[in-house]
This record gives sequence, C-alpha cells and structure tokens, in this order.
Amino acid sequence: MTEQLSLWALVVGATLPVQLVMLILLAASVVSWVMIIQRGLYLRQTRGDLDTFEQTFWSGVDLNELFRSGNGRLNKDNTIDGVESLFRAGFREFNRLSQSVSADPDAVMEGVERAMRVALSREEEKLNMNLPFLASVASVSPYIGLFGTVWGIMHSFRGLANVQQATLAIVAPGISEALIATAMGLFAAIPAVLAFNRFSANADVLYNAYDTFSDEFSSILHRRVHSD
Amino acid sequence: MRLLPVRLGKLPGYSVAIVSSLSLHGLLLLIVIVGWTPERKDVQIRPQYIQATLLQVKPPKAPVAKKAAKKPKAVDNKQQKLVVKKRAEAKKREQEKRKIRLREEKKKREALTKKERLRKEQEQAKKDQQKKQAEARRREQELAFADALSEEEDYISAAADEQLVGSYKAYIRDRIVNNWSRPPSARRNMKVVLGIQLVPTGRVVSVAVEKTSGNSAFDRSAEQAVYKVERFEKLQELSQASPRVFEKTFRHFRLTFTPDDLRL
Repeated sequence: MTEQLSLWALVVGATLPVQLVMLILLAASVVSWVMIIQRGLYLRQTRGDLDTFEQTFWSGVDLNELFRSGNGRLNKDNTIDGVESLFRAGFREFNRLSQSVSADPDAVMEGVERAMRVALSREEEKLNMNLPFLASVASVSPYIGLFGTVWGIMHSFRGLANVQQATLAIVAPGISEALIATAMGLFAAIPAVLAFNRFSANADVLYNAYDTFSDEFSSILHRRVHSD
Repeated sequence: MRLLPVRLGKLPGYSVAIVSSLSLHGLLLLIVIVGWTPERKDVQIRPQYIQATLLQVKPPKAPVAKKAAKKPKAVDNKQQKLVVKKRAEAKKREQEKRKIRLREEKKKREALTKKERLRKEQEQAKKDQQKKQAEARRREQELAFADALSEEEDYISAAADEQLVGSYKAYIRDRIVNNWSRPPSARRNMKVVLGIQLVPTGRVVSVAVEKTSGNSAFDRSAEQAVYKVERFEKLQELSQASPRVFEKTFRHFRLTFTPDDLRL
C-alpha cells in the first residue's frame, strides 16, 4: 500500500477536512440513492395503480362496489395511494352529504370538490416527496467536493513552499488526493440530477392525470346529483 | 398530517431502497479498497538527480598508465645504476692495478716487441672506449631517472589537483541540475555534451552543444540551465587560490549532461 498510489491509500492519506468532505459526500450519495430507488419504485407503482384503477373505473363497475373493495383492502392494513384515494375521498364526501336530508346539490358538489382537492394536494405532496433533497444534493455536492479539492490543493502547495526544488512529484499526490473529493461530489451529483429531472417529470405527469381524473369524477357525481 | 408519518413508513420500497443503496456503495468501496488500483506507480517522493560528469579536455588516463609503467622502471634504474657504478669502480681499480703491473712489466721487459706494445695500446684504447660508453650509459640512465622523478612529482600534484577539481565539478553539476527544468520530451538515456567556457570570476562566457542528444528541446534545456546559472561563485575562490588549476580545468571544459534518474 505504501508503494502504490491506490485510490484507497489516497483517501486514507488525505488531510482531515478533505476526509470530512469525502465522508459528507459519501453519506449524501448513500441517502440520495436511497431516495432514488424508493422514488423510482414508488412512482412506478403509482403509475401501475393509476392504469389498473382507471381501467376498472371506466369498465362500468358499480361505484359502491369499487368503494367497498377499497375498504376491504384498507382493513387488510394496506394503504391506498394515488388516484384511488382521490376517488375514495370524493365518494365518501358525496355519500355523506347526499344522505343528509337537506342536501343542496351545489353544496354537495362543493363539498366533494373540496374533499378531492385536499386529497389531490396530499397526493401531490407524496409524489414530490424527497425530490427537493435530490435537487439539493445535485446542486450542492459538486461545491462541497470542490471545497475539498481546493483545500487539498492549498495544503499540498503549502507543503511545496518548504521544498527547495519544486517538482511535480511532490505536489502530484496531494493534488490527486484532493481531486478525489471533486470526483466524489460529481459521483453523488450526477445520479441525483438525472433522478430529479426524471422523477419530477413523472410526478408532473401523474399529477396531471390525477387532476384530470378528479375533474372527470366530479362531473360524474355532478350528473348523479342533478339527475336525482 | 396525522396520517403522513404512518404512511411514510408504509410507502413502498424504503427498506428495499436502503438495502440496495447501502449494498451499492459497499460494493463500490470494496472495489476501491481491494481490487482496483488505477495505476501502480511509485509514490516515493524523491528529488530527481541528474548525473553530469565533467570531461577534461586532456584525459588524464594515458599519463597515469605510462607513469605506472615507468615507476618500477625508475626503481630498477636506480639499482642498475648502483650496480653499474660499482662495476665501473671495480673496473677502474683493476685497470689501475693492471697499469701498475704493466709498468712493472715494462720496467721488467723493456725489450718488448713493437707488435706487443701496439696490441697493448689497442687494448688500452678499447678499454677507454668501454669506460666512456659506460659513463655515457650511466648519464643517460641518470637523465631518465630524473625525468621519471619529475613526472612522478607531476603525477602527485595532479592527483591533489584532481581532488580539488572533483569538488568543484560536483559543485558545478549541482548548480546546473538545480537550474535545469526538464522538458516533457526528456528521456532517461539522453546525453548531451556541452562545451562551457568560463572566466576566472566564474561567469559563464559561452555554452555550446558539442554533441547533441538527438532531441533539440533537451539540448536547449541543458544549455539554458547553464546560462541560468550565470555565475559559478565558488570558482572565483579556486581561480584566486590556484589559477593554474583553473586555467587547466575550467577555462574550457566539456560537460556531459545525462538525466539518468528521471521518472520517465
């Protein structure tokens, strides 16, 4: 290890601030990958849920039945996400309001829309969860890495000041070790940038789909209220 | 908000995500630590030194050999000379004795034939000649001996000079190497011979490439290094202390510049 310029030897031989920077970047990378994987799984699942739910919804199934099947799943300790939670919020509110005797159709619709709006904003929150963290890792970790690099180069040049004969061989290991910090910063930042862009686009698409669905559903309920 | 913490725990894929992220980074660390070393280079930080040897215009090797060959001869000469001297003295004594005897014989036999006298005279002449020859030989040998002696003295003083010159050579080499900046195209086996001319203050008067290394950038860098030194301060001391050595060694000298410890 002493003779070779291995990557690990450089990391171990780095000065404390640089090592600290590397540690921070490693932690940022680990956490951002947790988020990336979790977000990827979550978004894919909601996408699938959206597709299957819309299929069953537009297949002409009875809405009461659909609601009840959702109840069954809730009792089995499954959470209900995405578009189904929108449907459930709206439908529950609709049932509750329309059962009361003095139900004004406009008031019913207003209540349903409000409930769905609340559910929609909650869903949006879930869709965009963790994305700000990815955005900050993407934008900040190169700077942190750069800080480590600048610090390391500063250090190695300060060491150079005492040497009578300045050769590249004296500064090179220091610079190399300092550059590892930048490499790690980029290593953390690049996946975060890609994931952030991709996931925020996906979240936008899903949000629009939810929005459309809530409009469609409220129009169906509207028809029902006024046909009664 | 009441629901959110509960839901967060139940959002799909958190445990999967944590496990896979940690294993991903663990794998990466493992690769970095154990397996993959990008380049296996020496990290030993050591100054580059270049061996530059000074070549003297007059290579001292030949006289050394000659002297080494001659020295024992000189000793031989001494012995020979002694022997010859002794022999000659013995001869002289003998001759004198013989002369006395001859005179006695002459007195004894005054009536010697002319022929006999002639022969004796001839003999005498021969002996004289022999003596002269011996003396000449001796003188010659003495001369040769003196020559050898002076040569030996020269050799001894040259050896002392050489020590002195060696230290200055090392100094010159150091100065040049310190002022040398390595061109990127320099390689280990390059060798350029520079002809350097100094004045007694140690200032560099001229530098010329006498034998190129084949790489003009390298030649130029070596030449520039000498120009950069500008003045070898210590040589002034030398030229004051013994101008003879300076004139002999450093007025014009050749320097072979070889970077043989580059990490190239």
